[in-house]
Amino acid sequence: MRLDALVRFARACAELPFRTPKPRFNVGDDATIGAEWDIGRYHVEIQVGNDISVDSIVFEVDKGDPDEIPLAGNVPFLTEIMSIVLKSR
Amino acid sequence: MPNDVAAEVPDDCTVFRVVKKADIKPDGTPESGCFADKAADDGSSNYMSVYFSDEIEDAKLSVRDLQEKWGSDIYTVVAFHVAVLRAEGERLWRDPNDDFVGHGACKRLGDSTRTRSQKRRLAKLSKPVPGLD
Repeated sequence: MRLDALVRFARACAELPFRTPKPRFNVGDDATIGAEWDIGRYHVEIQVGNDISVDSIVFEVDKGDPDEIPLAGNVPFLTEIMSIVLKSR
Repeated sequence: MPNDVAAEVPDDCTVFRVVKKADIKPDGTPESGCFADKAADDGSSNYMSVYFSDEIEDAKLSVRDLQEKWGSDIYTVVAFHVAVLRAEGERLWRDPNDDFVGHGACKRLGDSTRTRSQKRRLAKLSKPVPGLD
């Protein structure tokens, strides 16, 4: 995994609310790194890869269909989602 | 790989995917990252490795043998039906190798890269194989 991808991953994680629990980290065979949280009714995950086009946020409620948006430009949205999820606990 | 080759794998066949035990969450769901294709630039085949139950059974082997081949202290195995994967937009074909009988490939139709939400859907659809260590 390239250094710039790791930096994007670290930057996204750094913008998470202070009380965000430790995620489960995973490195895929496609050289992506992911972090995922199961918090109550909610499932949140992020993925970063060498190709920025695969960087994404996935959000899911009650194990329904996962919604996915690009991570690029949406880190504030990730922060907001996690804030809402944490308030729901 | 042409789709007519993929048709050789029957819909009712079981597909096994070897995953790390450490990547299984407390609720039994694997982490989404378990369902990635191999990296394209590492010289490998750029697909997700799987194993087909019919060939394993024909060889008088079991999924436990598959787990032990990989190392039962580190790895476990989850399962899908072929029909389920095809309904998710995955295509499958046999790709034998010397590691273990029944090896095959799983890749998105159209050869696109599996998105994170598609990986998540596979994680939720996968079933643990009972009776493994």
